[in-house]
Amino acid sequence: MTLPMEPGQVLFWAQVIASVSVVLASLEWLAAAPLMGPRGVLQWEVLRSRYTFLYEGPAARLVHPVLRYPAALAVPGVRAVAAGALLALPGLEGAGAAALAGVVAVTSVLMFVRSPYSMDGADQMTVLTFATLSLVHASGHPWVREAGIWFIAIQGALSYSIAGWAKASARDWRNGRYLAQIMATRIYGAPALARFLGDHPRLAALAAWSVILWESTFILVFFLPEPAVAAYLLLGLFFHVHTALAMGLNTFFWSFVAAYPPIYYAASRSHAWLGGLLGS
Amino acid sequence: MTLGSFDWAVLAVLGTWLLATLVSHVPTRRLRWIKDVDPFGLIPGWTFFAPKPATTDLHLLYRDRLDDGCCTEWREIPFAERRRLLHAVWNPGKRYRKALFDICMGLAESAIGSEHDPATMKLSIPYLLLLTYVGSVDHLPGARAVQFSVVTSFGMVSDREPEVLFLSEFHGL
Repeated sequence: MTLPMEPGQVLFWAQVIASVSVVLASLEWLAAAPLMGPRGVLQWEVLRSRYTFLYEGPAARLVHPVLRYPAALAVPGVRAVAAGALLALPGLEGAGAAALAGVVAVTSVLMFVRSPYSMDGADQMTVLTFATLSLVHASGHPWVREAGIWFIAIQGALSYSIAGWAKASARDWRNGRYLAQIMATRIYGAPALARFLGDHPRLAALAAWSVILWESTFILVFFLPEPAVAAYLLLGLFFHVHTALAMGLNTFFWSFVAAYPPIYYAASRSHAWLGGLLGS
Repeated sequence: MTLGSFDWAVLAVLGTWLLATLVSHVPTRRLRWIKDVDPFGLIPGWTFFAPKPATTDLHLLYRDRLDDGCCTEWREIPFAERRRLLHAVWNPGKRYRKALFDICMGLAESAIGSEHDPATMKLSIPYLLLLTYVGSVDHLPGARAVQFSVVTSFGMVSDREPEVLFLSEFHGL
């Protein structure tokens, strides 16, 4: 099997797609600024009492001026600018790229430090991706670059498979009931889809099993031939478009699809190694 | 091309991070501390909507106690808006919805859990966040105290009656 891309290209595309996610998520945070304001539910004075180190001591003196309102709005602001710069300067490498990716990683972590409430899997994927990109850019060593690609690829594949295994362990996931019930909620649901799945329990079970099978077997991409890997990734695109449309999980699309170039590359490498092993 | 000390450090960080991710997903209570000691959100939780997803809606309600001791009707602070096609691309409202949902869920879970103690409950982060929040919304003139409640309902296509998950004390405004 020929490798689809050079490692540099793989990381470039991962960075481009993940940067779109960061710009989008950061602008959404700024649009939702009242949430962090004096009449919002994410009150820093309460949230900082979660940990002693956020309330007193050197770390508190460092983060309090940054995370209190309205200064905290600069965190998604700086994050958006750094990710935007990575998009605007596609040829940037070395220390400059490491610094910008590092700013995105650190500001993403600061959002978690400010409040774990409202953060989601897309935000977690962003932290993983940009911390890795920053370290890889800073190192520049081809082995570290390869390790960074594998790290993002394995985390991406694990995210699907672990979710699939957890779903497979629950009877009401297997019979489709949970899927119909999620679609019936106001926060993640869609009334028309909820009614349809409620009226057609067999189709609900079929849809749930499709998700369970695709997710739980995703980790196998590292052992499958190229067409099968491409099929898994195409199903992933379909899955994320669907969850964005039906559930409003828009940033999940960008955050997780950013792992697809590394997954495709790592799967190709793995398959080539396995082919070599079996052939020798 | 030999690896320098920084390169080795990066490889060690990535390896440890991956190992911590794997270990934190082993389904045993004994390893739950790994998540508890992670204030930076570095260890991802990959069990999206599983094994037991949120299949109900949560509602935050509050009422005021007035000067004369009478209480107002319960009022709901809405946090779910109707899904629109635009949300597939641009969805800032999800931050507000998820924040309120996570906080209400955190409160409801600790209220149901075995560790429930009314005295310590009032000092929990979800309780304090919700109390501060309901204290900051508009109140009637003459309102002296506020009480809030977290209620669960069973989806848009169910006619099952909503249930109260949590009821706070009255707190002075």
